[in-house]
Formats: sequence, structure tokens, C-alpha cells
Amino acid sequence: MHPFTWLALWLWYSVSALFVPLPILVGWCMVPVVMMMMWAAARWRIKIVMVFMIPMGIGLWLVHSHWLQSLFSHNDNVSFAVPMFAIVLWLRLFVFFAAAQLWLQKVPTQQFVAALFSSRLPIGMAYLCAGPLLLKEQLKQQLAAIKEAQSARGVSFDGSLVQRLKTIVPLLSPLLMQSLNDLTTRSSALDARAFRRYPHRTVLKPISEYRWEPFLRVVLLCCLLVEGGAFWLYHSISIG
Amino acid sequence: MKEKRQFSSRSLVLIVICVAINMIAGQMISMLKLPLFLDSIGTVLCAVLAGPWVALFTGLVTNLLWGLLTGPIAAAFAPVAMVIGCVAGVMARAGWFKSFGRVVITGVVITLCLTVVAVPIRTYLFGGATGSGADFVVAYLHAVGEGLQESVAFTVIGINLIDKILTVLIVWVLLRRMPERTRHNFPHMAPIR
Repeated sequence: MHPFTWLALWLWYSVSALFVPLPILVGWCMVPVVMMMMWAAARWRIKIVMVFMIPMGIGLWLVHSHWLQSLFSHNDNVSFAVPMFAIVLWLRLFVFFAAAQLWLQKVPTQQFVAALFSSRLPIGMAYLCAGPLLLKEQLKQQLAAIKEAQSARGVSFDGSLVQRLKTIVPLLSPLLMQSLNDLTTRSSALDARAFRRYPHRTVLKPISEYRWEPFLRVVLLCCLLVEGGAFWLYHSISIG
Repeated sequence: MKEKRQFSSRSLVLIVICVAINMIAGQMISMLKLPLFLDSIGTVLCAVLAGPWVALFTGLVTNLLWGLLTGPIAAAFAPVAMVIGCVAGVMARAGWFKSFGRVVITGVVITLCLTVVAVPIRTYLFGGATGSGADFVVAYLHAVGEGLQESVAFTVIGINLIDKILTVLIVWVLLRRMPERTRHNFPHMAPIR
């Protein structure tokens, strides 16, 4: 499927978590986890979800339970309970984060960049989104090379906090100057190739998609609107 | 015929470079094992070189891309990155990057402005928690009687003050070291001396 279809699916699944009631929400957040467990290539992402969501849960519990308060007031009835809204919030965040991991696993960065360039987005916008992803890897390699070179010159990267802070400028300075000097070359190259002269560029290898995928994307976005409207109406009636 | 206003190719490439610099800052911080973010160096750099609008876009694109690469949490904080870029650009244009003292004040102003945007996001979208050690501070302040918003605000200021002052100082030092030849490429650059 096209990366944008996967993105629409993630958006629909995650935003829908805002509208479903608690009992369904528990099952709703189990679905991405079960899918990650069943999909061998995505299994490592469960660890990422846990590393983010468990501290988040502890943080929410610390902030919203009255445990610290009862501890400070020397109250004998120490309360460990956490309000329901904090549990619901944690579950919703869980859905957003876990489903995003599935999307990230399904759509590699290269494929997403290719999809952006061949999309109907204005070409300037597509370049803004895809350019940093392409440049990031180059800068990473340059940074590693600069670190090696500065180490050879005697710059210590393992000293005290102040010493390590001082190494930021020797690391960043060559990288930045090189990038800024490249700027003229890059922008001239764009202009020389008539960048943005035509609204869309010719795509050498377009990302294939099924005929029904654009329709599915529209349906998913409409579903979100309907769900949101129904949710708002239900709450307006129940409050009224 | 009315001509459509758009960024020049130079501005687009500058945004791309600055976003990439923001992104690799994380790698640099883990390389140096520093307890900081420094993830706005590119945004502030862009603010000084090209002004508040370009910097605002740099902040937005950085966080949206981080959201697509690592998860949706970064995307939620996109307005914060936009404010950092915008405020840094306005301060730079107003001559607040000319001396050490002024640069430090710029860092403080950026922190205060980002707090105004970050606090509602952190409080209402994430319930005041982010899953970091700062949650202990929020919980402590909340437990001793502060409201949730105030607790989050104090924590956000505490975390960001040093980080943003250092970010602005690093950019200032880097730009002052920039060769004259490179500086000529940025005719709209804010004064740094």
C-alpha cells in the first residue's frame, strides 16, 4: 500500500481512540501491541513503546495520585489511587504511540521521501519535508568524521561537564561552515534545474498504489469527522 | 497578474540545512553525554540568518519530521519550536544578538515565551507528565500546593532556561566565527557585533 494510506490508517486509528469508551479503549490499545508481537520484524518496537509509556505512566501516577501529598501531610491513609482521567489519557497516548511504531515499521524513511516527492504536494513543500531526511545522514557522517579529526587534534570529549560543553563549538563549527558554504551551490543547482517552475516534477519511479487507495484515504478522514461529530453530539446531549 | 509570494530557493535550502542540524543535535548530545536538549540550534541559527518567518517554518518542519520519524509526541510540540524560531528572529532583528549580555537576555526571553505555549500543551495533552525525571518536580510542586499549570510552568522554565541560553550562546559564538566570505551570502543577517 502507499505510505500515505498507511499514514491515513494510523491517523484514523489513533484519533478514534479519543472517542471510544474506556472498556473498548483497553482493547483498542492492545491491537497494535498484538500486531507487533505477531510481526517478527516489528517485535523490537515493543521495547520502544514500553520504554516511553512506562515512565509516562509513572509520571502521570506521580502527578495525579495523591500519594506524594499524603506523604508530605503525614496522613496515615496513604492513597495510591490514580484518577480515571489519567488512566484514560495514558491509554490514549499508548494508542497514538504504539500505532505510530507500526506505521514507522511499515513505511521506511526512503519510501516516505519517495512518496512525498511523487505526491501532489507543492514541490517546495515536498522538498522541505524530504530534504532534511536526505541531508541528515550526510551530516551524521560528517559529524563523526569531525569528531575523529578533533580527537586527533587533542580535543577531549570525555572530560568534565564544562569540558564537554566546550567541545560543542569545535564539533559544530566545521559542520556548520561546510553546510552554509554548500548552501549557495545547492540553491543554484535547484534554480538551474528550474525548481518550482512547474507545479509537479516528473517522477522516474512512481510509488505504486491500488486504485481504491485514494478512496480509502478519503473514507478514513470522513470517518474521523463523523466519529468526532457523533462524540460531540452525544456529549452535548448528555450534558444538556 | 498578482505574483505568488514564496520563499526563495536559498531560504528553502537554509531551512533544510537548519532542520537537519536540529536533528543531528540529538546525536551530538548523546555523543557528548550532556544533560541538555540543544535541539533548537538550527532554528535559532536560521532566525539570525534569515529572520523570524523562515525560522518559524524551520521549527515547524523539524518537529513534524521528528513526529513522523520517532512518534507523534514531537509533533505535538511543534508550536513550541515555532515560537522559539519566531521570538529568536524578532530579537535578532531588534539587535539582541550584539553582545554577550544581550544574548543571555534573548535566551531568557525565548524561554519565557516558549513556556506560554508549552505549558497548555503539556498540561492538557499530556496531563502534566512527559515520562522524564522532570515529572518528579511537577509532582512535588503539585503536592506542596501549587496548581498543575503553575507546577508545569516552573518545571518548563527550570528545564529550558539553561538549555535555551546555551543554545543562543552557541549560535552567537558560531556566527561570530563565521568567515566574512560566508557572511556575504546572507545579506539579511541580523547584526551580531
